Amino acid sequence: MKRLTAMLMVLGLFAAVPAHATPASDTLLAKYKSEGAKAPDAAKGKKDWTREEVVEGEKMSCATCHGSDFSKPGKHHKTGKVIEPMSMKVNAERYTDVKKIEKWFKRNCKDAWGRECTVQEKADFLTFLLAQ
Amino acid sequence: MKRYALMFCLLAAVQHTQADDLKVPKNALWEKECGACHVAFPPQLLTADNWQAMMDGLARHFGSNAELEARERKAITDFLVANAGTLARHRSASLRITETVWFKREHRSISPKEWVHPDVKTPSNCKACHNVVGHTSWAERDLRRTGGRSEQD
Ligand code: HEC
Ligand code: HEC
Repeated sequence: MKRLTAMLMVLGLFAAVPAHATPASDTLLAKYKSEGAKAPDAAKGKKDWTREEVVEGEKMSCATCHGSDFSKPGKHHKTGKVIEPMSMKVNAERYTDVKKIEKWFKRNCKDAWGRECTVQEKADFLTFLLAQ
Repeated sequence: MKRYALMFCLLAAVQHTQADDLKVPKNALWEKECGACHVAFPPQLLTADNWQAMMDGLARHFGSNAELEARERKAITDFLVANAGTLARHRSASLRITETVWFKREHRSISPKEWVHPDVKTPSNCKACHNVVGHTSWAERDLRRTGGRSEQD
């Protein structure tokens, strides 16, 4: 019982991390750092968000599907499916699952830029997105 | 107003046709992963060979990257193959359900105009017309039609 109380207190501490972070984002940023990323640059993340590449004949960027108003839903450019907002202020599910974040970075970087993103690019994007 | 009346007629008509309900088995992993970018398309609508081929090529999935980790891919492949369609009308060289004989026949009443309606965009956008709650209901009574059609006829 005492143990449980102690555990709850520790969890409470975690829950009290500053607004622009989640346990999952902390884990990932530490991982990117250990893999060679330098200090994350949110301004670079913001610029990269709208950086266009031509992939399979189509001009693509992150904003193609997600838009640039992070409090609003986006739309998949091919299927039309609604994509829930990227801002954690309006969508509490965002940035809470390490595996999910990594999975979609992998897929969407390939879709939008035709290649995987570097750890630095991912650190920049994540830091930028957490602040939205 | 005219539109509502037309919709009502359509709904009424639809109620009277023989419902060939498409029952979709429950599978949480499949629904989550294969329902992320579009509705989770019912496994009965392609053959086992077709699903196998699709699941072997998720890195290049209709112009999108839908890669899964090996364990999840195997579990979903098993589910799709176990519930796949067996008849020739569900076979598709392009791996598109929308190009099967079955799909074309079920949808023969739909005009070319309706397929390219801005709310539809692509025939694979089932949700534009079907109210697929939880991916499990495909009955005709759950149909919802887009402007293109009701305006026209
Ligand atoms: C990253 C997004 C994404 C994910 C995840 C995804 N798909 Fe797709 N899928 C697409 C796109 C894009 C299309 C093409 C839509 C179009 O052009 O009509 C498509 C098309 C399809 C089609 C053909 C539809 C037709 O035209 O008849 C099938 C079948 C399909 N997907 C099955 C699956 C299965 C099974 C999974 C899970 C393993 C899956 N998809 C996961 C993006 C995705
Ligand atoms: C443009 C609108 C539209 C789109 C998009 C569409 N359907 Fe349909 N679908 C219809 C209509 C309308 C009918 C009824 C046709 C009739 O009875 O003449 C129908 C019939 C069906 C039926 C038969 C239902 C029954 O109870 O007999 C199934 C199953 C079905 N559609 C599945 C799909 C799937 C799966 C997709 C996506 C791959 C899809 N539809 C995309 C409009 C659409």
